[in-house]
Amino acid sequence: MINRIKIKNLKGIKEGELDLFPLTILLGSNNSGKTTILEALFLASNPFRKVPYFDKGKNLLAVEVLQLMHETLKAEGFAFLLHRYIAQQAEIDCNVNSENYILKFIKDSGYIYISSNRKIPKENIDIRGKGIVPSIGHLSLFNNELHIHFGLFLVDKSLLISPDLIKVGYNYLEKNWASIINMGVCRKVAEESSTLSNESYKDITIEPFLGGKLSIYAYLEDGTRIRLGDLGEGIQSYIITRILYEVEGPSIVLWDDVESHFNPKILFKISNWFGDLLDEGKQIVLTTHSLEAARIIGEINEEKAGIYLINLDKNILKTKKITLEEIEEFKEAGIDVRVADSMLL
Amino acid sequence: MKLFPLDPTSRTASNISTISRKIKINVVVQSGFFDSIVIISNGSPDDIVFGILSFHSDGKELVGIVKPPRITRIAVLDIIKTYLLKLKPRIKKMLILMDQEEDNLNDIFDKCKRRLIKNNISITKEEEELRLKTYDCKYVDREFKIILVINGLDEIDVKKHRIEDHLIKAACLFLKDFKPKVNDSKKAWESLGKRQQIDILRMLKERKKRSTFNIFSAF
Repeated sequence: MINRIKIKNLKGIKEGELDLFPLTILLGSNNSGKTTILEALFLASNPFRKVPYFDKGKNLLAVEVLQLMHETLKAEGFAFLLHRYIAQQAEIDCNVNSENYILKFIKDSGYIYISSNRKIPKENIDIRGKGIVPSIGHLSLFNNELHIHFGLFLVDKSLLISPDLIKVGYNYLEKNWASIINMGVCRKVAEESSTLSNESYKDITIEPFLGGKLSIYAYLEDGTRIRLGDLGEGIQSYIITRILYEVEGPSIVLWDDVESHFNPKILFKISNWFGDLLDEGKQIVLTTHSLEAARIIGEINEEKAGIYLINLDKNILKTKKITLEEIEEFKEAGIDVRVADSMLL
Repeated sequence: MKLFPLDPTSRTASNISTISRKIKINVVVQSGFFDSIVIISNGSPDDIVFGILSFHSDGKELVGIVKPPRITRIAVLDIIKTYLLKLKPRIKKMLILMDQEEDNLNDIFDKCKRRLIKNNISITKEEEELRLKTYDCKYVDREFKIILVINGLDEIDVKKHRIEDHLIKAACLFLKDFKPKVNDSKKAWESLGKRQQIDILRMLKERKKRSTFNIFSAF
């Protein structure tokens, strides 16, 4: 489990640190640094590790997944990782079982060299002003060129879920269905999903759709089938996430905007699933704008949960650990903590 | 004066935003620093009226505005410690807007005083003027002022005095032939159509500051 994360000069966060819990819920307004924290945790296990479930014609690397999430910027290269695109060095420092796992993103000669304080069996790179550093790879600032020197895990494997990435996850399921179907997870997920809708799904499978293209279907009890893409976004997200989780078997689940597409019924289902994951010793870090989501999920295991109100003040991460009782207390006083964050932090 | 609703999803926030847009008073802001808050203890149309009075209050001063959702009137004094202790800016002033209803003014002021003391808030100084009472208070190391404004007009012959007394007075001034038939200012205000209500609120906005404040005599 990652107990603590420190971030320096990564994307919008100039500096910040946060204690993590088995279940960490990050509440905050837009542009408060929530997603950057998740992305830092996602990169922490190694920016160059393959993320099989993100398939864009080839398996993406973790750092490419983030690039994909930020592709609306229409900018090639990886300079977006550095604070304001100009920081000389960014850092992600994770404390795992009292040991620090530090990733450094060092800018030099058109590249970002990624180094770690851990022993890496591969290349050492001479970086101006930094001397010889162990490099796990480097990224171009200006184009999509990247070089991997070490692609194994430094800290535990994480699964990143984001509304932007659900469709990409769907592509992965379609392409890898032959192996997924044999895992025996589809029937279980189908039956679970039935509790979220008025239909009773018995199984999930892949068959040709109109025009012969393969497509994933949920089978109904009466033998009819419904294309996964035709189900509501919330149920699609739930099914895809659940299957991806079973395929990946991560130790850490990172979920951005957990309430997205979900009504309270699905949120309740997800919170129960989170409860099971916590019982299994997994770690969950999620972001939300929704107090309802924070409450429903936070209540599932209050002892293991830590809810943070977060905000950026001049790019410095401000955090306040807040209890469900405090959220209620503020609500009683007519204060919405998500809006009043600048007055509470 | 600009108003910062501390819960933008609340009825109070949407009521003020709606009237702000309809009669163009532009009093709502979504961010900024403040050290005073307005507590609307009775809901609507108190919030709307306060929006118009804010428009007439000159300056760019920013105040937070809240309506505690489940409590009304004197009970709001039970939660002021939340504003004092949990908000990062030190709150120096709290203006509490409260309907008189059937109570005698002195009884309300007495009840409020007792409620503050019950909440371990000590009162170091009191000043009274018509329907307004100011308490200089202290709680732990926090010194702050509570300004209690009691809505209602004695000249309006009703059983329960409310903010609608003032609106009915405005309606009688602005609308020809308007004679409230019931001795309940809330019902009389509600008997007006939405359009007439907006017209009256617009006229309150467009009148000179002094004459509008005369209608809301406590301010």
